[in-house]
Amino acid sequence: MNEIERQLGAAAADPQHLAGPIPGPGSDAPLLDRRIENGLHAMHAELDAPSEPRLARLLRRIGVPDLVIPLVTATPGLRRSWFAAVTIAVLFALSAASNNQAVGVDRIGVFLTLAPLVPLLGVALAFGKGVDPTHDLVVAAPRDTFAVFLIRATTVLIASSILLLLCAVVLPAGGAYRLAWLLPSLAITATTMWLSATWPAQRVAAVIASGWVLGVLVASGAASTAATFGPVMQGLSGALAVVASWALFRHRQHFNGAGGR
Amino acid sequence: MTAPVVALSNLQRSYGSKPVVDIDRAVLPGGTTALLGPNGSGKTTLLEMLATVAAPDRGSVLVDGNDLSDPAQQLTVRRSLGYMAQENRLPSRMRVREYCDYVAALKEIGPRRARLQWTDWLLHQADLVDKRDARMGTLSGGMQRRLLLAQSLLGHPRLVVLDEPLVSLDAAHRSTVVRLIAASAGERTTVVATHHSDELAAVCQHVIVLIGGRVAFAGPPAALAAQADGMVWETPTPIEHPSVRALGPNRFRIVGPEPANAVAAQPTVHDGYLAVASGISGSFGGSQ
Repeated sequence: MNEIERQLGAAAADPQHLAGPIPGPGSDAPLLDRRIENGLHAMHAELDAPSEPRLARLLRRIGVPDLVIPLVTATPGLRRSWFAAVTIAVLFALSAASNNQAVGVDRIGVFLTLAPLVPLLGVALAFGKGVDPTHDLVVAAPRDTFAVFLIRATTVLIASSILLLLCAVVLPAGGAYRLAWLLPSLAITATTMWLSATWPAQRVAAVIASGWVLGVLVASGAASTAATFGPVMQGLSGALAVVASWALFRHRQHFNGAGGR
Repeated sequence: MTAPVVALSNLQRSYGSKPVVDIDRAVLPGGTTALLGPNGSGKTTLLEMLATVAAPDRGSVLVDGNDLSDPAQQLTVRRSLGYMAQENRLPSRMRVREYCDYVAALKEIGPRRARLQWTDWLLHQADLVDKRDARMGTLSGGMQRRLLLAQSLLGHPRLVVLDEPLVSLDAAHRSTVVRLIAASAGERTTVVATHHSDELAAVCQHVIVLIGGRVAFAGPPAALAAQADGMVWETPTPIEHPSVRALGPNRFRIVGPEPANAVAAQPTVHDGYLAVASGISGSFGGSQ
């Protein structure tokens, strides 16, 4: 029995029942009118109910909570056009590196340098006054602003990582080093999120991205790619990711206060 | 349930060294309060502080005794808050129906069936049922304004903060919006910044005029209109005056000293506002 049949059946037995227990929109009218109005909205909603977008259906199937789904699908950084642009940029960089192998450009090195920037920039574009037109609404809403920030950052992080793993697959060589971007990526992204509690995310991301590229260039000038992205960097990255995540949680109230971040 | 009372005390917010809002004390009672003032008078900044999207540099905002500087009390207020910003900032690629679902989720309305029901209500209020599958970027400025107003009323908030809701609307939709604002005035506190003072006057119980970030008048609409008593004139001759308004061919209205060939006119709320804004009102009947 669908919602319409349920409502009509209940209304036939007791007109007062119409949409009674549903905390509905009808409000500015006497109780009976309100219930009738609620019933009508329930029926309209049922009649007009659109099928959920594919992404929302997928999220529901894998167990994402109902109230989180609209926040994930509305993430500004989660656009097909953005991912297409990133994919093209990474593939273009790899291709350019491939063509320059004769002059000593290291293709895996280029990939490992660029890859951590993708989630970093994605997170920076997913939240904040400058990039999200609904930012004021998010801040004024009862939903925990920090939670919205985390949901969006996690969404972009997961989507970007899947994209980069696919790019890593097309690299002909490199072995396990093809995954050496993962921990640095987590480290610089978590650091950006933590510092976003105090400064605008886009500005922080620009500084950290520049610092990362500069650091890698300096390090790779003195050592091979394998050494640059070796156990020392992995260990440091892991430690930084943990510290930054801890600091982020400590500063969560900065996101929830008036103005958000 | 009674409407919440908003109390402002020693409230100040500055941009650079210049205070944009500087209010010693003001009380916004239940019902509808119109916030009037020229551009740059601090209306939007004040509304942003009421809506918890901006924090004051000093002073306090209490909503039914809840201090907005306290995180827990701020959350209590946000649970019954509706906010419409001055600008039409909407995600242009999102569809109208997805946007409604998103706003309902932000307001913790669930499950999806309840959000669909609210979406249907919201689209009816905004007169946008036919546009439910349109992308936001394709809506006209007036449609976007109506949608933003309707979303602010979603969930039946007890405190509604509206920044210029009548801008970009045609006359028919302006009257619909005024009716929406007037609905449930007894259960709700609505603060509306507007330049359409006469249109809102009929449904307002209270008016505040901000000049240079300070309260220049606070009181009922009739008291504001009375500020222009004996100073409102209509004349068939065009006249050079900052307050002159053309009401029709050969019919001009001014607030100020009596011009030649003029007849006295009954002051409206807008006339009272002009008198206060230009500093020529006889006596300040209102108080901070």
